[in-house]
Amino acid sequence: MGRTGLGEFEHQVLLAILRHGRESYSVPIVAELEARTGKEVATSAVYVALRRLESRGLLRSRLERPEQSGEPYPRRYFALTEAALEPLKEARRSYLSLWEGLEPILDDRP
Amino acid sequence: MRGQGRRAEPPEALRRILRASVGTSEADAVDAELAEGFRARVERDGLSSARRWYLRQVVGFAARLPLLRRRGARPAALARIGLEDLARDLRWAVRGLLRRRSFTAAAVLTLALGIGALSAVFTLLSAHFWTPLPYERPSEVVLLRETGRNTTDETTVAPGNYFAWREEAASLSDVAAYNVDAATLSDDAAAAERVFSSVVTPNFFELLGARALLGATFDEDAARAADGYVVVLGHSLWTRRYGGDPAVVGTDIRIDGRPYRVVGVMPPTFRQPERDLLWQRPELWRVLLLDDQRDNFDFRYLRAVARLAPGATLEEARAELEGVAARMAVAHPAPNAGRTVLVYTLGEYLLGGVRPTLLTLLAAGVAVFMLVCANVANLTLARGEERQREFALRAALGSGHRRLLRQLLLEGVVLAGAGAVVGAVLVYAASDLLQAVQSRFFTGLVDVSVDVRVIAFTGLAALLAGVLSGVPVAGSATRADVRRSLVSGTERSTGGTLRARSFLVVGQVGLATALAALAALLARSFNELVSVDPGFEDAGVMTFVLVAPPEWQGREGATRYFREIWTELEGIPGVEDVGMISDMPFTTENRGSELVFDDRPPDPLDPPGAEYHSVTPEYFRVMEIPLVSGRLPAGSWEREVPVPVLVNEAMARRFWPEGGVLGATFRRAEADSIPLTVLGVVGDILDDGYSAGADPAFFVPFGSIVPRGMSLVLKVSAEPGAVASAVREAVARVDPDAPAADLRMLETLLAETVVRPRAASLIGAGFAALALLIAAAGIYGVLSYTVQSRTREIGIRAALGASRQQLVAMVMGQSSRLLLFGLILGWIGAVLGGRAMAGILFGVKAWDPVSLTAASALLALAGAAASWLPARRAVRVDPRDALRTE
Repeated sequence: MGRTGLGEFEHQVLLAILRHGRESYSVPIVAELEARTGKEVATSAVYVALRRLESRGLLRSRLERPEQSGEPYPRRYFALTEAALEPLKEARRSYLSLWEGLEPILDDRP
Repeated sequence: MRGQGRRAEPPEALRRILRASVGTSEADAVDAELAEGFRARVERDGLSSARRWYLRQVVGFAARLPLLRRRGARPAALARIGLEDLARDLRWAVRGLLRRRSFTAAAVLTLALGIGALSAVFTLLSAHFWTPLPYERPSEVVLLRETGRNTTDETTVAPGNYFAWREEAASLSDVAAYNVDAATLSDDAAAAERVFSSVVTPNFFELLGARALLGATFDEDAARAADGYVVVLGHSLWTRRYGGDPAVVGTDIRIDGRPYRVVGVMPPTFRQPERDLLWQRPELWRVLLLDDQRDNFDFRYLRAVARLAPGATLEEARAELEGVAARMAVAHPAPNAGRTVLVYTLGEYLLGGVRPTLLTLLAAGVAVFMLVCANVANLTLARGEERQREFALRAALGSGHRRLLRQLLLEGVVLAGAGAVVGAVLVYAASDLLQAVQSRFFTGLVDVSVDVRVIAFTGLAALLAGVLSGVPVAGSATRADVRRSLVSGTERSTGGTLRARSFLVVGQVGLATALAALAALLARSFNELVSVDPGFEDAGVMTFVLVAPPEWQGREGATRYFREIWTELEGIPGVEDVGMISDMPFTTENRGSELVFDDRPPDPLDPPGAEYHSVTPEYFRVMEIPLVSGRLPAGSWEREVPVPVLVNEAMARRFWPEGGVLGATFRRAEADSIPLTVLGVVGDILDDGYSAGADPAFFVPFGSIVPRGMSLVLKVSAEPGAVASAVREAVARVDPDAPAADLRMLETLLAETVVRPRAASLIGAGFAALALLIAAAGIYGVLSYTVQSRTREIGIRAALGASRQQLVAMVMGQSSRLLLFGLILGWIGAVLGGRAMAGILFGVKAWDPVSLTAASALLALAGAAASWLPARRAVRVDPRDALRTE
């Protein structure tokens, strides 16, 4: 019973990675999400989302060993796959179409 | 670490928790990344805020643990076999079970009992059949025995035949021989004591692949150089008597009055390949040099153990040895005609005797396990009824039958898993008890251990229990009528479920009846066994074994020694009478002799034979063995010619069926041919234990055959403890080097010969009680459920004028039908089971009406008791309430 759509948080995580260019790891992703949403994000939740997206084939990851990066610890980098683009586009399309004509109603909101 | 000292790091304790939660593969990365986040936050928000943040992150990781552990590849693999939602279903199952605490507790406890019982039995089985015996490559080791003349009965081995096997059989790489006996230790280390010991050919330990813990085992040349005065100590003797002092190796100790050089100490794990629990653990080994025994074919006193040659099979060895035995029968017809050789594997010989008992236990364990599964299935069915709407709803929402089925089976497995954990804890807690049962009743060769195999078995049993107890409810749930359940809102589809539950109860009653009947059968068999009249009186008789020390030389010395002992014992207050015999009844020791009758033609191929004992006449008084005819010899200390002997009734019947036994004369074939004249006939006794018959035997006065070892029997009228210490003192007064060994009451000796049947009977009773309880609970469950679901009907009947008796009859009628079908099933089971157990039964037939009736009555009683509460509830139904229940 695999799902096809994107959850809201998954959607946000994918966008945060995209904003960092080709690939990123958890610390900048968390920072990006917190900066953009203005709320604290649980790192573990990000991990769970990353892992789920990876298992659905929307992300791929690589573990960079200290000897490759010069950092003291290994680091797991995530990048979007081709397969991620379609659900992202789909999500964007449906959000936009849902918003169509509604903007004026909410414009007065802070 | 690359940072400077003042750089802030996350709290170490939390870090450890984090690393432990995440697991090894990702721990480094997660740890480093969170630390990086921590440092960024210290810069931005300050240390204490960063710490609070860090704590929240760690808690987050711990809470999301199950989701994090799922690694990339696994979900895909699970999806391939259709289990992608297993984790979620599992969560549902656990949550659902936790919501119904009382149901879950009842089911888990019941399952724990069933799984625990089965695992306990399995632990014993595993120790017996799948634990290697403590020898090197045990599958190559075989035991060799001779057969009796013209029978397949096993006897010990003559030295001449041992040499023939050792030298002629190419399929055996080596053959060793040994004998078991007792030895008296009398050195300065401690008081003199008598211990079990063994004499072995020098190659014995090497053949078994047994190495010494200290020093060495026997070396043939060294043993010969020391004239055989070398000894290997057992671990228990070494620790007990010599305080575990390694320096004892190389010193001399006194055994049977002579100095022996200690060459080694065996490890505590070494066991003699013997069936008898005591003989498995000799406390010392002396060397057996058989050089002058090469032509001895007459005295069979050895036990032989061999190792198969590389590549040789058991069948080849058997065929080859039978060939050797056939040649020996031709070469030495008088001792060997009509005899052949028996070849046993270690397992056959050492554990074959306990197999029927163990298999009976296994059957009982399986029966209890099935009962438990049926009971849990019953509980689950009841609960399934309440859940009809849930199932219907889920089906309506598109959940397929397979999915529903899986969910239900999963719930069963979760339940059983919890039961298995509790059951495994029970078994583990009882492992000392199991070891005690094992070493007391079965064998001391291998120890029981609750090991990986047992745990794996428990897991498998749990899985099976889960499936077995989940299947009926799954069947009924998937048949649920979606529309009707949803529309009516009540649990109406009870017909199928009730049938399923009734079926289960019938099965339970059947199993419980069979178990109870078989337990009754075992109890009756045990009772029959110990109520056999052994032919003597065991009450108030004390017995012990005494061996004349070597300082009392020759028959002269031994006679003087035992005469002094006898006088000392007679003087003890509370000792009424003192007798002696060369070997006590109910011990395995026996002496036999072939006989010659001067007035009959000899039959060299099947010569007559009888057992014989050396006695003093008081022996018959103490043991209350009746004199049937003739008289007892007047004295016993002097040698008389012809020797006046007593024969038992079996011997009188066998050799003088026409009468004329008194005054008849015969001789022992191999002995000095002194004529023996029958002076009297005494009653038969069971010499070899309750289940053996009385064999022909004759009794020679002590003065004519003087053994160095005698059993003493004392009629005791005072408190046994006080008498026992007086006896020890008296024996020590005559010679401190000879201890009174195996000092105990005769009743104790008799009880020890029947520990195995007693164990089977007790364990059987335990299983049967458990089964009865479970079956009664099952009947109760079904009936109370029926009454509950028929409340409305009962109310209408009551409103229409049905009397209380009629209502009770209705409920009881239903229970009687279940009981009756169950009993019939049980009878069939009991008869089949009884046949399978025939080998361990004594004095009762497998088809035993008494046991069957007793078991049926017990079940009927339990059934009536279990029906009583539901019936009372039915009577109390108020028609008005009943009609409102809809």
